[in-house]
Amino acid sequence: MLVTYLNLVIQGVLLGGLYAIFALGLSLSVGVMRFVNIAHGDFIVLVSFLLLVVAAALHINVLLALLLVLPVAFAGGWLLQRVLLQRVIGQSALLPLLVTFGLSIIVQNALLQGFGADTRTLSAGRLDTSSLHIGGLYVGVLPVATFLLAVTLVLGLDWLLYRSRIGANIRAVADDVAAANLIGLSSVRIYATAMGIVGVTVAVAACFMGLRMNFDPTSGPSRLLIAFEVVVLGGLGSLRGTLLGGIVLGIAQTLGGQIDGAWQVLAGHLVFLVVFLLRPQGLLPRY
Amino acid sequence: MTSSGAGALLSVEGLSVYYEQFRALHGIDIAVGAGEIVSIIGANGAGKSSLLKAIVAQVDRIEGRILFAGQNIASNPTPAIVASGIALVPEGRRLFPTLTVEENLEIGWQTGRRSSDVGLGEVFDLFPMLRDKRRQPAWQLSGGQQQMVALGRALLADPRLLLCDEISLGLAPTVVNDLYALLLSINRRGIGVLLVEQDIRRALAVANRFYCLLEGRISLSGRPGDFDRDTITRHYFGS
Repeated sequence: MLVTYLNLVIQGVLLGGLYAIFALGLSLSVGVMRFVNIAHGDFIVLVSFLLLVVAAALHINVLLALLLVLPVAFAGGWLLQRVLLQRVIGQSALLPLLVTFGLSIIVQNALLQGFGADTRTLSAGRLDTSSLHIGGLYVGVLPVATFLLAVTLVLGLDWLLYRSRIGANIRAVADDVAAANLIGLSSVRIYATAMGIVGVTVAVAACFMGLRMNFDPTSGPSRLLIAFEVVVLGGLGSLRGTLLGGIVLGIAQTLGGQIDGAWQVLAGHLVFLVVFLLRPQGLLPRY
Repeated sequence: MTSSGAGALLSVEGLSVYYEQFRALHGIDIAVGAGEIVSIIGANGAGKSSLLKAIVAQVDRIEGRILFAGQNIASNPTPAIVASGIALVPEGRRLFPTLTVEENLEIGWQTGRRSSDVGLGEVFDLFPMLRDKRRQPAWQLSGGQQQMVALGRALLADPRLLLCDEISLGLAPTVVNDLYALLLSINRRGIGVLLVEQDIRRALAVANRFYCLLEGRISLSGRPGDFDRDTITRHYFGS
């Protein structure tokens, strides 16, 4: 009995790692650029399809395809910010919501047009099914690897944001856009770089989501919901909070799923609501 | 000492500044020589800040020419202007509150001429009390200390021309005395200073020359000693 629950909690923590990866990009755009990207989930699904195509076309492992796609994702985020989002950012909270909502619809329908409504998954070969046996518990190699990657990404982004020059620039612009422009720190360039970094996290999320779960062209909004709950649970602008938020949501869903399959998603939402009511600033708030 | 013409470090010619339909400056001419401190005085809304913002390309639209070291910079973007050697100490200091003192200062170096001649050490020598606070976020500093960081940030750009917008605003008189003494020593190194100030007495005490702005036009200009107090006050308020 105890072993069963311990096992569930471990599965939950590992699932939480994946959720944290979903949410990292959103955490950056909400915490730094102060806008909510409604199309975040759809961008993840879009890159999942891109990985599917690249891996199939070049006959390579999807993890190798990810390495090829990372620079493309950076460029995609950079361009998206530079040519589209920059025009609506900072004017009102509503404009970026509407524009990214529109993008969400465009991406979903373009994917439906191009790939049909079939459910897909990504495969990394043997990694999909191999598992580790630790002290009476079986854990999948892929979930463990995903979790370790999530921790690495959080620490890496934390370093980037708080220890590097580009991070100081990004935080400066988040503090006071007008002041940055006034002293010759180009907020346009820095926003674009930040969105490029978001693009990289989206690509990683896309790869590991596709390895772990099914996706189809309309999966985006449910991914956005997870990411959004994780960001709010963890506290806006806090990357470590995002990791913790992911873990809390992961554990809630796994334990809920044990009660009844239908409870899996519901338990996650309930825990989110309870935490939100008791601690609206999130678990590890930065602001 | 250059007062105008081709030899000036900064030469503003026929500058008008517009905010949508509103015209804040009406074709003014201003010059700053390399070793000069030039003060711009004027009442609220006279266009003083608009002038400084126009020089660093942070206004909607301008007409006229802005020559810096002989080059017309009027259509350059702000980062290029700052990188060419014009640093602004903005009104209200405008530090990045969550960044540390050190991070704020480094941004100054990064946006400026990226010279190896200036460094954090030099700023800490000028403002010793900042050395102990280098790892503190800027919002924890007092107003005077924040103004030191803002000035330090501008100096790290290794500017040839320093633009100061109301640096005495909201600070204790002794702190302001220190800041002005420092401006003089900065100026002695050959950095031109264009000073915007509401406090006429202070502005005139340090200036080689001054311009008085009234409703977007120059109402009086010259050396501070050339005019008596009444004349200046009259042109300041426009009575």
